[in-house]
Amino acid sequence: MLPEARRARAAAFCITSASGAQLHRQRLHTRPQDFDPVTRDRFYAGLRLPATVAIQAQRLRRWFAAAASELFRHVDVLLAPATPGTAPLIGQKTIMLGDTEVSTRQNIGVYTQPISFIGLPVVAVPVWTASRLPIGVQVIAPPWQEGLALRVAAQLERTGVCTVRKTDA
Amino acid sequence: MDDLDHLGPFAGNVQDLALAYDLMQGHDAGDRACAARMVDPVSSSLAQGVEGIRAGVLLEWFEAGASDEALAAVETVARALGV
Repeated sequence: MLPEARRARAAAFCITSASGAQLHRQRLHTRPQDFDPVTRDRFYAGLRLPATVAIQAQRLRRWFAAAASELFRHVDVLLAPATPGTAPLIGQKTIMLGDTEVSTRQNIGVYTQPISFIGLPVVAVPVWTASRLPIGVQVIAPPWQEGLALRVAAQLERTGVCTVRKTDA
Repeated sequence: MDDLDHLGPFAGNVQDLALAYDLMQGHDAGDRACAARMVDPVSSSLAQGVEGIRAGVLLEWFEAGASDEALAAVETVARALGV
């Protein structure tokens, strides 16, 4: 079990926000109109994030990475959905997370964010569903084991469990 | 954002994805986020199979809120890997 994934995701949000804001700091002042308004607001929030929060988030990150390493003593790869459901439509503002309607932007990465937070290699493989759209399943490997994730994906491809196909759905 | 950035190539098959990964490997001294690791090509070993590999399914956070389809997709992969 990978504990505290919810906190890990929150910490990832904080670091993304602070780092992104830092990266675009100058342009936010000189060319604010060039930014997507929703993204710009997130950067503005990032500019005001206390340094202590960002440092705390990095601490949690190290702890969470260690928890994942512990898990990989018992398994070689981990599996999780890539998204809560099939792909949203372009411009679709909300998705369902369980019984709750939530913001697409803030929640589409609910299962990927805690994993990318600690830099684990992932291959997302497409599994076809009854609704004629695929769902990505994350094949997650230990640090630097990209080859393992790709090998597992290749096996799934060979056996027809996961396939890329064009859809007109 | 060298702290959190991730490369995410898309490909139509795993071989292409592995080739992309192999091409992206290698140290870049001008990029402080780039680890000084040896290049370890993987695209030629995709056929090795997964004999003896143990897979686990992440639960709790990673299933809460997921649609039935998403859970079924994970289940399909897990079964194929002998979980």
